[in-house]
Amino acid sequence: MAAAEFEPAQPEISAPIDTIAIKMPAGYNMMPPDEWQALHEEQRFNLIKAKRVAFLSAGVSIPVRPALRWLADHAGGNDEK
Amino acid sequence: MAITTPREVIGSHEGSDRASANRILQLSTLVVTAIVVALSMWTTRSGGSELLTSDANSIRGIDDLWVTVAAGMVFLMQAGFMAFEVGLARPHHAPAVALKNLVDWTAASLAFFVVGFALMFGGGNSIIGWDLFALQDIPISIDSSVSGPTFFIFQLAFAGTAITIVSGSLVERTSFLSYAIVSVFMGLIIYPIFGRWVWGSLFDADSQGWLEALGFRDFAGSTVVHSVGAWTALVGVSIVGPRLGRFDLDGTSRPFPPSNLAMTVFGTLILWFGWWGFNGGSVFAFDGNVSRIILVTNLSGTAALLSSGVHAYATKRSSQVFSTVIGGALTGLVAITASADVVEPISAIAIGLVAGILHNLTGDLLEKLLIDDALGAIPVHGAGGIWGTLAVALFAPSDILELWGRSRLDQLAAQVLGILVCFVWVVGLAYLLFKAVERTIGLRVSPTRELVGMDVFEEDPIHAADADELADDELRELLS
Repeated sequence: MAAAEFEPAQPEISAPIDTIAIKMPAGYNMMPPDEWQALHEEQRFNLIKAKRVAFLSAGVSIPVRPALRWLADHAGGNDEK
Repeated sequence: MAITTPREVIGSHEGSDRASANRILQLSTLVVTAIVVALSMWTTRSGGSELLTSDANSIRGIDDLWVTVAAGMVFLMQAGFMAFEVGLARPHHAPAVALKNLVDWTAASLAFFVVGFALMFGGGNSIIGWDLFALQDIPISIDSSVSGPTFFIFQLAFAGTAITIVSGSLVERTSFLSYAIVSVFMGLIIYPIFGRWVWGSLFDADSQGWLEALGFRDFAGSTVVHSVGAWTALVGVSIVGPRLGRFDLDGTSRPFPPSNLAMTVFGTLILWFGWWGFNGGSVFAFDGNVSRIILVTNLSGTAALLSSGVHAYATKRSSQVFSTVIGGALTGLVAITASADVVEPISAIAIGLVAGILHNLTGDLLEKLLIDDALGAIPVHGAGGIWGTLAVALFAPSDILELWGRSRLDQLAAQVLGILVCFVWVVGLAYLLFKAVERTIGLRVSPTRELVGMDVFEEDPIHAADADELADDELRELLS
């Protein structure tokens, strides 16, 4: 159990997030991280709360907390958010 | 009946009654003979007239039969496209790829029947037609050699070809419903209205389109069919984006290996066979031109295969040569389509040789631009369509140009105009269409489905970020 104490609550992302997938009625719309970060904060909040967003690294889904941290550190945005 | 001759009558000395009877018999015989001869002459004349009518009907019937058979050959190209695409796609996507080919034919059939044909060939002006909706009041007998329904079936097969070209580019990542909607709008508006501008007079000489009035010529659709499909595909792949893993973040291309090249070759041969009907049927008559057109069609395809193969062997990895050569051959068939009715066989070989090289170069360019044209529809139908359309002006014999009343330069200008108009029209409308679909119902399948395969009747699994992991305050903090 001692080892578990040293494990982070969420694994760090080794590969970059390359795609944000937004669920639509008949499929998904994909966007790169910069485009996602440029969306209004409220819009992003609502999409995540509605469970319509998948953060992808080479096609693999990344959990929400490490994904958002990675995006905050690496992806650009706009001044309006 | 025994006929009494005059000599027998004159020689008779058996009584006046008998002589009178013989005279009456003689006269009656003459009258009957005259009537028989007259009837015979009338019958012969009437029979000749019937024979002439019958010949005309037979000729018209043969034309009608040939165009119907040619329509069937073009329809068979749907199976060719299916086999071609299934062989090039990754195996777990094969069922969806096959089904999409079935669906776009259905969409084309209904949309083109109800609206598309009317916009393309109905009475109207040089821009759009506005009668014959759902073939209402379509004439069975028209000025041309084929009947109205036969003409429709042939044109429907063409519309289906233009629409199915798009599926080859968008495979493996495009939502099934979204693709079906795009197919319907292609059959409703994009294809028929441009077709009106070029082929409006094919059904009714009074319905000449404005591009054909300016001298633009496209015999069987290098631009009208193939470029329309290619430019729609170009817009589609640009908006849908590449398949996952197709390009690295640094732009390195990672081609997906074909699943079954034998199946692709089988599809190519079906397409090739269909092309004989595609071009040969466009004469709308079964005359000596048909076999000549099939000959030049065949020559261009073979020449393109040759040049594409030599170029690919010299410039590409060995694993890419096979699939490249197949696309090259199809490009030659696309390229000859615009001019198959006028060019000489030796010109067809030249057209094919250039087409094969253009195919390879266009494919390389798309790779550099990170455009994932999954099965190579744009090099085949786009590059082949442009080259073939230009080839009309470059390779048409001088006497044909004289017949058209145009210099080679004039004709070239008309061809360039048609190519540009097609590009602007199709790209403009297709952009609006794809963007509307993207914003309303979405274009792509889920990443999971894309990676493991698509079963269009299963619910799309969503692996969305689980927002329940976070409280609202923490989520807002991470987003800010």
